[in-house]
Amino acid sequence: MEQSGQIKRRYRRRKKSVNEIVFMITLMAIPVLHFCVFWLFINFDSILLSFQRFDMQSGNWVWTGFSNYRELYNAYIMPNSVLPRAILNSLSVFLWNDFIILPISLFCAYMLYKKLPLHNAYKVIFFLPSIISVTVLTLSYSYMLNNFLPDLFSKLGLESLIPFDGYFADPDTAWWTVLIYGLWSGIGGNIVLISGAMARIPTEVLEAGKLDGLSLLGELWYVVIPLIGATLATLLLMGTSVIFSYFLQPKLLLGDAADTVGGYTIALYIVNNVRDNGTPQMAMGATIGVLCALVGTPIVLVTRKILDKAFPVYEY
Amino acid sequence: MKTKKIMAAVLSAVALFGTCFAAGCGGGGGGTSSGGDYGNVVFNERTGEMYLDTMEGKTPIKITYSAGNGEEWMRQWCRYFLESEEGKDYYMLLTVDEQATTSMSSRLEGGSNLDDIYYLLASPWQSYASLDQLENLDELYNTQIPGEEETILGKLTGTWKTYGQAYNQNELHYYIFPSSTPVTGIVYNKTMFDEYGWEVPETVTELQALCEQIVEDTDGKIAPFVYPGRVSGGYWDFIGTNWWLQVTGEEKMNEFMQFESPEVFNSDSIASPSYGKLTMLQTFEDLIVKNKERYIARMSGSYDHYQAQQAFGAGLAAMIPNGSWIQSESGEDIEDEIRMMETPLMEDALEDENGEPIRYNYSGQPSFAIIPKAAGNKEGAKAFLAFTCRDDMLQLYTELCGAPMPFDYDVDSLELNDFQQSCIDIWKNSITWFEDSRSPLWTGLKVRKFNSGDPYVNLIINYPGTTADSWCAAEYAGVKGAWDDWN
Repeated sequence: MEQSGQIKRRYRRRKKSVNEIVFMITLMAIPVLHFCVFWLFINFDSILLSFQRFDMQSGNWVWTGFSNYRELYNAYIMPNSVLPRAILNSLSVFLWNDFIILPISLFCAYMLYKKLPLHNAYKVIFFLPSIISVTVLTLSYSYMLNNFLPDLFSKLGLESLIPFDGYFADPDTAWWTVLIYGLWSGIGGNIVLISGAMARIPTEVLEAGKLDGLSLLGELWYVVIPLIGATLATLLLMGTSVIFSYFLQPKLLLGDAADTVGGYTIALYIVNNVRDNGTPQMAMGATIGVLCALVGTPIVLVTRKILDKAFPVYEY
Repeated sequence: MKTKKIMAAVLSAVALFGTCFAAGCGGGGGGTSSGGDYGNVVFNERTGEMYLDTMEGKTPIKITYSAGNGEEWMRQWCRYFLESEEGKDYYMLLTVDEQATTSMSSRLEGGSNLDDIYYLLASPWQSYASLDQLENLDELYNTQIPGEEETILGKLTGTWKTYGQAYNQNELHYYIFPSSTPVTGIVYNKTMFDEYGWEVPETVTELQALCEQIVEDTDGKIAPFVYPGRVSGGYWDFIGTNWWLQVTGEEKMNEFMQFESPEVFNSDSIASPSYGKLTMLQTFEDLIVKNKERYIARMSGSYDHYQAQQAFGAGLAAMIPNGSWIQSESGEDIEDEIRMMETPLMEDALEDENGEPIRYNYSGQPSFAIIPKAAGNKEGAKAFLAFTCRDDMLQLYTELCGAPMPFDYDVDSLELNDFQQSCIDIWKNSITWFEDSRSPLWTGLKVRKFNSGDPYVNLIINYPGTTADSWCAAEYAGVKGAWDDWN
């Protein structure tokens, strides 16, 4: 009798553990499959692809050793190459995002947080560009620089401020138009995130600061920034990813002349060479991707390490 | 509360405006019928369906095309096909898609829900053939054209006799079907020319004199040229390659396109085909680049092709580098009479045995039609393509679009408007040429005709930092340095 009870208990336990295993497998299957297909396979295949070449006559991929890497190096060193400028531009977007757009966003968010006059109207003004499609926004921005500004400057007798080829086609102004567009369209999203973090700051802390005689800027520097450090660190870290992914804005604003006016980025180079040219250039896209990963991974890791030290997380 | 409501209303209005604006800019999608006459054939503009009597019991032929030359040509072709014996078992399903060319690679890789025929603009189709994504058209090329004695291949003219061939599993077959042969060069405002008494220039020297006269007569208010700087090459290649052909000749250009050694890019050697390229760019530099603030309309560098054509239509410039499609594309924006002029002759243009200059028409990289291998109705698609090669269908196309097709057919009896006639006259009196090569460097996209980026806009924007000589030297150095790795 005792023995039969033990067998039943053991059977129930085993049944329970089988059910748990089935449950865990079901739970994990989709994320694991997703990881295997969309990360492991794609990245592994990209690495292999960077050592291959598409043979147009046979329609097969053939191994070519490091020739794609040599070809990329040649493309980099050849006269008139767009790659050196593309790398500089990509880095400038990172610096612009992290050291210009983010501080301005922080300052604006703080002003809104302090409920300065018309703060609700400003919230809408800042946020508007973030909810409109990038295609529409670039169109209206192009119209502003191609039509509105030249007309305005002409009427004011300031023709010398209008480049002959237009702001988008003058090498001295073309890249600045892209950066300023980034400032205009990017500030709203940052403000939303930073405002959300600021709203969580306990009022007691701010009142304590006031009692200690902190000025408005003192409060921002000594109280607000440290307490929203985690959000700022995340935004700063996200800024590193644009180095290798920023292409849509220069493509839409500068068109096919992006290379001529010094408006290329690394991502735009990949898009124009792979997407528009199909299969034969896929290997070159994979090669650039592998190199970007080699360069980008240490940048992201070091930035994260620095940010962890600069912005320790405070629980409140 | 009130503020929140106002904010919500403002945001909704902006979002609605944005959506409407984006939809308005979308272009493609639904048909915008001009309300053409399709006889007994019914055309449903909303669905794109076109049928005679009924669709029941018939098989659809699905066609995707772009509306660069308007939509009427395709609808009329379909109408006559459906009314013919060849089309009695089919009905048509037409889709206008301006993005078809750029999305073709991923569509073919997807392999499902493919239409039966795609009319595409210039794109690297050789890789589609190599990947076995396209239907072999050898049999179609050797098919007798309905109602005629000639085969399609026999009726084809010029480079198109072989251009449609590409490699698949090391074998050469036909994979694409010819579409129109545009005429390119300089489009001018005839109304303006008549008003000021300007003469159409015969030579580059006369063109330079004309530019001076335009500036003088209009006190600089009308520029000689406007161009689309945001488009690759700014359309200047429609003049540039015609000049290059004039001084180098068709034979040498074809030698260049074989890309047998990096020396074909050596512009310092008179024997090299690239010597003509340098000569052409030097002429462009002397004529346009050095005088850009007087000869080019302000802000041209920031225009796309529509904006440049609108500026031309608005009378900001007397001429525009363009092609026979300008009337279909921007006719509504151009009220004045326009004409195409024969590309003015270079000083050292080649002459024939009679001492007459040899005229060329660079038609640009050609557009074409494909039948995907995974298409549902390949037989119907082939029957339709064969039908479009009939004399009357080719003539219909030329009448509607003002552009010739690369077939041997009569264009003299056609009723064309004056602009179309000026294009056809150029086409008849010149040798049509476009880039064709089976070199793996070309089909594999390693080398281009201009291998160091677009020279024209580069010169206009960056001169004197970049000159014709420095650009050609940089191109040659780049090709020479990479040659071993490419091979």
